Amino acid sequence: MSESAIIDYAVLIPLLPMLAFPVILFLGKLFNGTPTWVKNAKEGGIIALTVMGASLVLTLLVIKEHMNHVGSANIFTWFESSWWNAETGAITTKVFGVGIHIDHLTVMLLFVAAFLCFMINIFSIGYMNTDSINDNRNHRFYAEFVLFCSGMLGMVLADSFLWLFIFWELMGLCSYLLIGFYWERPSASYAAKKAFLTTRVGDVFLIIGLVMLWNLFDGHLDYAYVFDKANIAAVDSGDLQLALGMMFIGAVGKSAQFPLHVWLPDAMEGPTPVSALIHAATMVNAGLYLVARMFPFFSGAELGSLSTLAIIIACIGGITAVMAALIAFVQMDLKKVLAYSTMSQLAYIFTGLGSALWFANNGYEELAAFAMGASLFHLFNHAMAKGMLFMASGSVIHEMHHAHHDIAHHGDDDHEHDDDNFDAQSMENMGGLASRMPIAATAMFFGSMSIIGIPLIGGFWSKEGIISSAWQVALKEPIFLLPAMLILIGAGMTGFYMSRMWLMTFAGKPKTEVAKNVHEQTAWIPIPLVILTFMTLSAFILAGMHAGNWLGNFETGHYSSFLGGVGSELKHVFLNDDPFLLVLTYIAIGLSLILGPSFAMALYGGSLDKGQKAKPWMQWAINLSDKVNSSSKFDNSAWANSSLAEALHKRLYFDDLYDAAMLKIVVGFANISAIFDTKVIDGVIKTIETTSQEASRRVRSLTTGSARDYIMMAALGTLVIFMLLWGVA
Amino acid sequence: MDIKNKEFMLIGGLLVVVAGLMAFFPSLNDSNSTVDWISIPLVGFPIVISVILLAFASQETRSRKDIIAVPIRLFTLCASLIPLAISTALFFDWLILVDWNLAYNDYALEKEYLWIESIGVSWHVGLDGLSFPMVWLTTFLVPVTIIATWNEKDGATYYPLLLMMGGALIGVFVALDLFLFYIFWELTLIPMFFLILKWGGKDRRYAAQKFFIYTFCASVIMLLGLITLYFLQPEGSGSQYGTVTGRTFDMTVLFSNATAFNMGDNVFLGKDMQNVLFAMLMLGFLVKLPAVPFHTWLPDAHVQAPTGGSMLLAGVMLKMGAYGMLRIPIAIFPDALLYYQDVIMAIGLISLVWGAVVCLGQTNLKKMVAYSSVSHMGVILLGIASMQPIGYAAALFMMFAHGIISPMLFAVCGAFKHHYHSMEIGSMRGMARWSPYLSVYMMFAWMASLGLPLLAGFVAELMVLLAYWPTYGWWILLPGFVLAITAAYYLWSMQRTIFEGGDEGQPPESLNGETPPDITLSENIGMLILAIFTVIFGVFPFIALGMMDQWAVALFEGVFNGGI
Amino acid sequence: MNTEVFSTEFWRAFAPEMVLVVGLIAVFILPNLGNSKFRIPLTKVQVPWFFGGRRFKLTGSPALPGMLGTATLFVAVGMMVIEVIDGKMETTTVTSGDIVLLQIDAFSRFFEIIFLAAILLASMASLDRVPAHTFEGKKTLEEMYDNRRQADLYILMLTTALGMCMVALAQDLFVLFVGLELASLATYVLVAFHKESKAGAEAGVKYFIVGSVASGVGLYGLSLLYLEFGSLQLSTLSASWSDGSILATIALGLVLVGFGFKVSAAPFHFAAPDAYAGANSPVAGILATASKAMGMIGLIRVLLVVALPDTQTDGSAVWLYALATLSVVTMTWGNLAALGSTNPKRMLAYSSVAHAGYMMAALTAVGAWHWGHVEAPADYAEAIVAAILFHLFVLVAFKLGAFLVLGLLEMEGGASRLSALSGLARRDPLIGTAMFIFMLALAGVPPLAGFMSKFLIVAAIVSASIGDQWMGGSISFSDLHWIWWLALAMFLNSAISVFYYLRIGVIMFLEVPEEGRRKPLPYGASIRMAIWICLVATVVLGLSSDTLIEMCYRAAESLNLA
Repeated sequence: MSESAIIDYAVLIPLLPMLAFPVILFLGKLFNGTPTWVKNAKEGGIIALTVMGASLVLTLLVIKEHMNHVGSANIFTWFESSWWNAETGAITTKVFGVGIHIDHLTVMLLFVAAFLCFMINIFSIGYMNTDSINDNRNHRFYAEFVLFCSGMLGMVLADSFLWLFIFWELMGLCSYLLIGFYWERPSASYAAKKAFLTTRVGDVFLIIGLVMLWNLFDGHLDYAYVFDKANIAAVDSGDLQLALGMMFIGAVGKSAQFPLHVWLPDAMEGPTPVSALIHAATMVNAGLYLVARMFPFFSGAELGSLSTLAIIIACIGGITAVMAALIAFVQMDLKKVLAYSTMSQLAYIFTGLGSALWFANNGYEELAAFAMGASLFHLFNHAMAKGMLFMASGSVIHEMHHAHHDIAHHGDDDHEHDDDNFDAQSMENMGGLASRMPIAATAMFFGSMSIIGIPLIGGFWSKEGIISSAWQVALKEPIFLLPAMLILIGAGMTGFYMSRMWLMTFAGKPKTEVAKNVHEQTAWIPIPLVILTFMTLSAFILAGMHAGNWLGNFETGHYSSFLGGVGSELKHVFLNDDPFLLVLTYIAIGLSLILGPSFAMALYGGSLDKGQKAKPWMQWAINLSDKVNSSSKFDNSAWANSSLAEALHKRLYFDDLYDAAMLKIVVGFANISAIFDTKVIDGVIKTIETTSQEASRRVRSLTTGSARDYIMMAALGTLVIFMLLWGVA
Repeated sequence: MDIKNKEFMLIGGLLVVVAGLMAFFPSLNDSNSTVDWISIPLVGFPIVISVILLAFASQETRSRKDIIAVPIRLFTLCASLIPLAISTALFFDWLILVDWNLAYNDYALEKEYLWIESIGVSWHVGLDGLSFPMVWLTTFLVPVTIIATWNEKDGATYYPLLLMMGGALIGVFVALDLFLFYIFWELTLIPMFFLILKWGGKDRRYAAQKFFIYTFCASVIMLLGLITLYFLQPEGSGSQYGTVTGRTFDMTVLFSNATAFNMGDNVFLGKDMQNVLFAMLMLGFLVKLPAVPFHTWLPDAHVQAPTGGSMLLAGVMLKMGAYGMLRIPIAIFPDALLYYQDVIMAIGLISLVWGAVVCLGQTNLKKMVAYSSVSHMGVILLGIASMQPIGYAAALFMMFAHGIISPMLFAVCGAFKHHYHSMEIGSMRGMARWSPYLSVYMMFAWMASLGLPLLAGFVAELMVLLAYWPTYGWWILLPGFVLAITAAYYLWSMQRTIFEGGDEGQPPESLNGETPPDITLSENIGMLILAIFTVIFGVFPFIALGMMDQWAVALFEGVFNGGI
Repeated sequence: MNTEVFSTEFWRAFAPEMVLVVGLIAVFILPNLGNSKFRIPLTKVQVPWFFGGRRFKLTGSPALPGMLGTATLFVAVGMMVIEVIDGKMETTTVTSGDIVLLQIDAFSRFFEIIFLAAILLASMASLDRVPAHTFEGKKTLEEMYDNRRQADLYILMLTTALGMCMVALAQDLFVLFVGLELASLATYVLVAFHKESKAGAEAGVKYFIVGSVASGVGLYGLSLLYLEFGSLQLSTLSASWSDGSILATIALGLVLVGFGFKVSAAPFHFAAPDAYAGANSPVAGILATASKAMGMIGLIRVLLVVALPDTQTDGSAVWLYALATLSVVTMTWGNLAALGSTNPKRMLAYSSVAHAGYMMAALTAVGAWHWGHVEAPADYAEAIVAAILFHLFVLVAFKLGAFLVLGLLEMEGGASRLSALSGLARRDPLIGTAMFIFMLALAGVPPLAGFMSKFLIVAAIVSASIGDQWMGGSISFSDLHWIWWLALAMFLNSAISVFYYLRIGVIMFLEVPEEGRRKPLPYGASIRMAIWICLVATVVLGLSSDTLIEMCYRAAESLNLA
């Protein structure tokens, strides 16, 4: 509990954006359309940028302070409530606090979130404000954007699972709003609803898990208490496993893993910065963050008691990795490919976490720490790379749009250009952009390499770590062979679909007129691309600094100087003493570096137009692809027309299945019960009324109006009275 | 004389009356001469004022009614702000220092005036952690309702009726005498009956009668239970006890007696006697709540009622049922509560699930919202069945939060009806194009109602779940399922009203061509206030929860002392 | 105190009744005073002989009889109230020889007050309007408004009042019966007072036939009682009741029928709806309140005073089940019938049937508990009787009030259809509100007098069903006497009744006035004043009912049961 100055201000990191939300919204409503607002304030973009900048600065200060020691601060008591012991009648008070907890995991994710949010903010000023379709409603975008950022930052900083959940939900809301940004499009509003509901299903389980956890740790959800070894040892690990399992379902929903993955591809309906922000860089990592947070439970609980859950996590990861990669094979939409690649990469991290947790739970500290480090490091790399990829693709799409607009309408600026069916996102309309959009091409080039895991670049370090850890578990736990094998295959598939994407977009001849006229012209956009490219490449340095080790142990981990570390890291990867790992490493490298890309080149490779020249660091790849393509007579039409391809186009029928279940079963039942409610439950009441009216009619019909009948009735009454009296007497 | 003078005379005369009342209530001191802040300011004042206004308005011709509606509306608003000011001041100790940290069966600002001494009825009022939040809520909702329905037709009688409604509701919450409680309980029916009857939709006649008769039937059975209970208590001597019956309706006396007997070895009444009485009381409360299967009066009433009526009906009137449960039967029949615990849980669960599922099947916006109320009231029952202070505090906070959120829901529905002349979900697309404000409020209210964190509804649901799990285990999946269903029907309705519709949008046929307007300024203000408070109590729940938690603890220490 | 007939104390004690007699005579004489002269035979001397001839301006005024009657009733009731209100009145019995004829006590005075109050309001309402309404093709109200008719009307009213007082005072069943017949015959004529309308005459005749049959049966029962016990003195009967033979039981049954007709208990109530519908509203009001109360006296006297087993013996009264059945049937029948009836007067008639059912349920409770098992059983009996008295009293306020509102409508041509009420609240908001309040009171909505009365009745029944077992004794539900279910039945019935009472309100507030009823109501100062009195009483007796409750208890005590 180290009280330092800066941590008291850490609360501002999420707070500033949250406060900016109403401000932007209000000012936007006020000044909408006025020149100052549009030109100078970028319809709120500048305000958002300022706020995010402030958050970033604070973040960096926090990181500087807490690089090496854990910090936590209590802010205020949210509310208190009481618990009653039915046996003794004793009443105890349960406190629900609000606070901040900072350890290495927090620091890393905090940096990722704050940094990328800032980058994407810069990007969106370029992207959103230059597209006429967004005119006069960008303030809504920026407001929701900052609110989302505050959600993400808050979730990372929260010191209890309760507040983690609260900000988690806040992000869910924002993703709903941002995906549905183009609300007038049925597809967009459908996608938004789908995203919210699918994640909501996960959230339900998450909150149930939290409830169980709260009861297990008698009334505590704050890390300080639940991560305490003694307290963990005190609870029944069977119940604990159930609770954590429930929470994991929530993570599955948020991180778009099988079987709750259906929302992510549709979510690409949102503007590209949103995709970059939510569906690559930050929100989807929330699930990973949650699982990573579970680490102390696994190391704390009795040996082997939680390994089932660890295995399940890993298997979900493995399955998703391959499934997503497969679907990515056939996608033509640039952003959809990236979406599926995101899914698959997250799945990698899940597998890594799974193995880390398995190690932790079975008492292999070092291995656990290594696997943990690798997974989180991959999270970092992937976030950087994928954020960049999305922004690059956004830039491509943006320029395609403008080019098409110029061509289709000869530059006259009417807003009708999205009602004709030119798909600016389809890779079938691109090609040969490497020379026309050098910055985007470069960014995507290195981004893809990082994702594929080309040696020494970005994701390579972490991915190797994940694969090797998975296999090491598999040696001890046979069931683990499944995820281990799956992700190994996945490595190769990644190599294929990423290269395919890059080649189809940037290599070869332009496939359309539009693609010929594309130029990088929009301001603001290139800045984040360049920065992120260097970030991606710098993973090499981080790896050298034992980032893995540092991340692996949230509290005790240390990082070393670059020169000290890089040697050992390199040796660890390429000349591992353990032959098994050595072989594994080279298989993985072979798959991802050789097999995947070469298939892609064989299918989609090709040189640029005459006179077009890409930057040297890409030109060689293009040439190589051209060679491979021309040399190999490989034809995939059999594949392309196979039923498997069909199924992949249909996303393996998951969406259809879910829609059917929702519409046919749930809504059907709902309609029936609505009818039941009015016809039967209310029908009873109505029947009572009608019957009483009928009875009234009959009763009154006895009043005939002739005195004779009256006397007759009276006589009957008399008889009855007599009988009753007689009976008693 | 010309109109002007007459209006001024009206305002002036009424102001005189107000001044008189205000001057009068300090004279209602008792021996230790503390001011009675409840009887006149919170209860008597609104009712008297509204009666005067109604009497005045009733003497006017139709044309004049519309003219005097303006000053009456203004005056009613001012009059309704006085109780709000007082209750707020009481909470923040501005008027007098109120100690809200009360023991069980101990009340703040308690006042007792003997009334019908022969049968032991007294005007006994007081506040505690259970009643005060409801009282504040009522005093808060009446002005908001007046603002949100600023342009209601025939206002000369409409606004006074709202005011009277508020007074009667507060009476229910502050009453510490069963007889008094029942009187106010029934009194609330009359203004609501007229609100539905005169300002309602086209089936208002049926709806109003159904509402009145359905709840009346239930409450007479409750009354029989109360009377039986009355005669089952020991004869006593003392000012509260009736001179001819020797029994008393005073709740505090009843509670202390009951507690004394429950704590002692001999139980208070035979078990089955307790169970019968408990059931009779609960029936009255469950119908008011309403719980499935006694809920069918609610959709009719809500769909037909005017916006203001719906806001008060859903905001406070439904809470009367929950309030009654928490106040009377639990304190007197703890054993019966344990006996019925699972039944209550089952009813709550059924209401929760059934309400949500039926919502999903609705095509009428207001009906959907009405059923969502049924669903949310089920949560309260779960809280009660959980037998945990946190559950009770949650039930109470649920009442409070839903009391702020549901009026907003109905305000949105009302504005929708008002401007789009239709209630059909999916009769239109792209409302956000014409009515951005209405769309924002709709989305906000919907989100609040589906329990989004940092909005008032979430804390209550969370606490209920926390209390629910240890008692009923995996049944918790059903409430969880409902959380998802709730999100489903709300999002579904939004997608088909606010969103979609391409660049032009599709206005509903009911507008036949003319472009739909956005909400009026008054509607806007009303909803804005509600939205702000939804956020306040969502972010800082402890403001209200502290008091509620103390009350729950006190109840458990008082009633279930020493465990079971 | 014990007086002989026509002793000085007698006159002092019976001052109010004497006022009635005097007033009656005055109404006979004054309107007939004229300028007629009497010529002494064989002479030309003409002695002014004031009977007949052309009326003087004052005596000929049609307002005079009304004034006289109302004033008389007012004085009489005023004297009684002053006598009763302080509660320090002593009991006076009137004996001729060893026969106790009449007895003045809190109980009888209370009933007298009820009777006279009801008739007073009715007479106020009829001051300036007889017959109630015009008839197609007949003369206008003004033309029909003449001094003779008024005189007849008020003579009949005062006679009714006198008879009823006699019933209240009677200590001997025969005297009671004579008073009953006196009042009844007068009411028969009152019902038929509409000679212009077919309905009125027919209703009167029907009411007369059925009523006379009923009283014949009752008289037969009395004779059997006399045969059994050799006396009709209440004291004698109650003393020797427990050793009576089956003959006594039969007699009881016959008497029950006789009074059952008066309180219009099902199935002896059939004539009542016709009569109410046929008679003009104030008279119908008298039937629904005063004449019902008269029947209740009979029941109380016979069932509670006479036919209860004495304190020592154990077990409930012989008539328990008979009365229980009768009460449940009556209340249910009345409410069901009222549910769908479209004539407001018939509806009110049925509702008064239902009310009779409630009161009989209360009576049943008296016969129910086990004497000897309960300490101070009389308390429960008194509570119940007090509740009945309270009910009868406040009934005058709102039942009669409702009838008077209908009377106001009759002045503009009939109130025999619900639609006559439509839009009343718009035409005359105050009258509409008053009617609605009367309806709520009838339905038993707090805080009105109607709620208090129902509440007290149910409370009394419940307390009797519980007896002296209290909560320390941890009693179980099965320990309650089954009469508890009567309370439930009563409440469920009153819940049903809300439906038709509310319908009146809906019609008044929601529907548009029918053709020809658009203009504001006729003024009718006196009837409006009567309505206001009823309204105030309805509200005040609900809010501060303490004094009245105390009065009822004193009256019930003076009945000294057990």
